[in-house]
Amino acid sequence: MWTSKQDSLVTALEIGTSKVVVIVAEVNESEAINIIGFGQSRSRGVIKGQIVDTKLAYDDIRQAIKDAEEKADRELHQVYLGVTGQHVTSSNYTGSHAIASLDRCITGEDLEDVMANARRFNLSQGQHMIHVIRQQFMVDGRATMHSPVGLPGSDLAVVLHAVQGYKDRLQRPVQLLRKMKLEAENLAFNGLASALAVLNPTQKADGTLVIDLGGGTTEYAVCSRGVVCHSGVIAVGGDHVTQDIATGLNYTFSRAEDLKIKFGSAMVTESVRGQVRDILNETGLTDHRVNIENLRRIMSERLKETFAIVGAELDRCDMVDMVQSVVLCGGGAYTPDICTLAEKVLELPVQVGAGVNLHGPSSIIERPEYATALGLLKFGVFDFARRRESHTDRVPWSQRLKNLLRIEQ
Amino acid sequence: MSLTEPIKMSHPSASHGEPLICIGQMGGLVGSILLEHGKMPVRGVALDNDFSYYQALHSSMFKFSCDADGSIQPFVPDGHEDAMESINLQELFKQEGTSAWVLVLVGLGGVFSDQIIPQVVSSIQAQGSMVVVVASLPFDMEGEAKTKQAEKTLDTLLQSADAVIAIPNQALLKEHASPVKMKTAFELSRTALAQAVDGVWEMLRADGLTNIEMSHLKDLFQGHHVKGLFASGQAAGFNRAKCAVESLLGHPQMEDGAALALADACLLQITGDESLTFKEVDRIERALSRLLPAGISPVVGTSVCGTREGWLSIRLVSAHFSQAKENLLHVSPGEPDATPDSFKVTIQKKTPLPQEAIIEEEAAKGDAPLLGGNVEDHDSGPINPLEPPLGTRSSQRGSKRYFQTLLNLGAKKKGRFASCDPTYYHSINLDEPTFQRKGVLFN
Repeated sequence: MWTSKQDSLVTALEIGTSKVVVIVAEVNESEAINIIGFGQSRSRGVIKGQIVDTKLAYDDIRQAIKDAEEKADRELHQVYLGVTGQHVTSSNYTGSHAIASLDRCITGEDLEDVMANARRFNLSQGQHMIHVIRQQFMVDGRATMHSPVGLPGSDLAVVLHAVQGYKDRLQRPVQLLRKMKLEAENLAFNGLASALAVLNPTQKADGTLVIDLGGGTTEYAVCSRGVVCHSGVIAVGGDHVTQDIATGLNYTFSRAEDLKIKFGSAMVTESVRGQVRDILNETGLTDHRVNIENLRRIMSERLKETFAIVGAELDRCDMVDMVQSVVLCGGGAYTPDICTLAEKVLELPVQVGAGVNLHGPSSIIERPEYATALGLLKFGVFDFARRRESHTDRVPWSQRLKNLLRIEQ
Repeated sequence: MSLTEPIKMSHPSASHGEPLICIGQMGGLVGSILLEHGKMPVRGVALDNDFSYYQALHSSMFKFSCDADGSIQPFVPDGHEDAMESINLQELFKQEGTSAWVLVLVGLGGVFSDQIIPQVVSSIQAQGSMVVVVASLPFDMEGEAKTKQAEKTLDTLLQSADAVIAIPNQALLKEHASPVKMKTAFELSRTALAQAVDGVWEMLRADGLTNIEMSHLKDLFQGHHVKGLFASGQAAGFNRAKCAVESLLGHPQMEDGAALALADACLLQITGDESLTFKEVDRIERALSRLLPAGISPVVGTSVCGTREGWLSIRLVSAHFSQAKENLLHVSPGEPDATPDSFKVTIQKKTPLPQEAIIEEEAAKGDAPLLGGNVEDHDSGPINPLEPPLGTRSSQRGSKRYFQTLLNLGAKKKGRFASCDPTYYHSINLDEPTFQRKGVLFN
């Protein structure tokens, strides 16, 4: 139960490569999310999802927070922070445990033991665990998604999906927030957050690949049988497309970005073969001529490669058969013909995703570029509920002290 | 210590496997490199009349000194005369049974090597083994006398050995624009020879899914061929099949694939890790088949090797039956008049295709390297020694054209990503524009 107005407030902060987004939402007792505030600013100190200029990043985050506070008419103290970057990696781990009881029935203790065994993986020095997601249990080799407590068996195993990143990289945004008197309530990987935002329960169960085409990174996550079973990030995004155009057509980065938005497409169609457009300068005179076919070919090559890498990664992890469809989100999902290209490369049906099971302005919920921030909101609600439950189950401090001192009631 | 002892000890892999007969200084040193590498379980046997380089040879190698009259006896270093036991080459072969085939490694051109090779080949064949000779041909700068000597020996070998794979040393220098140091040149030669032996051995010995056998090699090479070429290429990571083919074609002997256009037969060994797929094998086979003359398809062997995770390697041996073609292969671009008239290359300026026109235009400006290669007007001006062998490209390989890509010596602009870590995916720098990496040409 939410105890106060401040308790029922969940704030998501995404420090992206192209923008900083803050979304404030109220959560009611039935855990329904209602967006009440929104702030956004251009991101200038972030490249490939990593803060490279703390001063600029600080200003941009401050601006977005301030906007959101004004819109929500609340003072923000805690945020759920999205993290990404090529230092974020994921892997699956398996732990097993032999059932020792005489009746060979699995108990809650067996579950705790097998989870503890699975968690005994070695992180590299300097790495920090961001998420550990339970995939499935195996009882004598048979997979089960549900709790196996009470089932007979001799061998219990569990598969975990873990997402980890390097502490020093993860701490950068947290330190910036501290300077603003803000606390990072918890961290969440952007790829998982996007999947939370755009997938409905059917898609999560059927096996869906979510690809978040961001400005500096491309995150992906595979949801199957209701859980995230694979995720990853490639430090390639919309900026790479723009940089390719700038290099190939010899324009500045900002001019290339304009051209990408105005004339860009993921496919080179027959209609643009040899097409040339005049680019006007501020005075209205023709400044440059741009070959649209070349522009789109450059874009197409980059995007095709990005999808191919995602496909290759899924192939490497034997995930291809689990995926039935693809959902695109992030700013890159606006690229014309992006679904056609993704379908061609991944050979799966593709659609652009939007936030599901959320209440608030459609200008936020229905836009794919806010999928990560919306997912962070959902993650925040789950995380808060989980912690509240564990808090309820927890033995009170007074009782703990008594136990410690062996004081009988 | 008896000199026969090393047969039973010293090198853990020395007691089994096919013998690798290394003749002369070049053969001995290259054989030592291979034994040092430890990959090939071979019995290294060095034959020479002068072991002044004794210390440089691998300790597990059996050393035999040969006299001018052709007698072969174990080499005994100074101070070890008392330990000498008499053993001849044939006895050595008999010790552990007969091998199906024996690799002979030699640098042709030396007087000693040329004297001893026919004797060694006949000795091995007398034991019922087939002989595969991997030989290097001398550099041009070593003089005409050596070249002639090497050619004479090669002719003899072609008649007697079951297969001969020749590595022309001079071809190894084609990739080098600047003057090559003597030491570097011989290192290159030794490396190429070692690669060839390793590759042929791997080809014949690998426990393949589809095997290349000695009979394939023998069918291709015995009797009627002029020379065999060996090349290898390998790659890992994203699109490794394509990259491995590119690496193979970049081998100095392949001349960007032009050498294949003249091949009369071809053996292809594809080795990958557990992740090797049918698609990759098919892609490699198709890519190389396109470069072979019409009607000739490669004999393909595949094997899975778990030692190098993620890597895929291709080894190729091609046979050239026609002397005429062989001569054409060795056209020296700087000296077109040195070739017989019938093989002179007529260089014509053809009407450029649209893409080539762009490349030509950019080449004229001097800034073409990133989008393709250089096409020059060969009607006028000197022939560029870095150019591929003239007349062996578009005219003989059908519609596919290859261009020599210039090295980009300028620093690459990182643009927006200069201030952050580069993004690598399987050794590919993804920060570099995709179209550049893939060589996409624009209209």
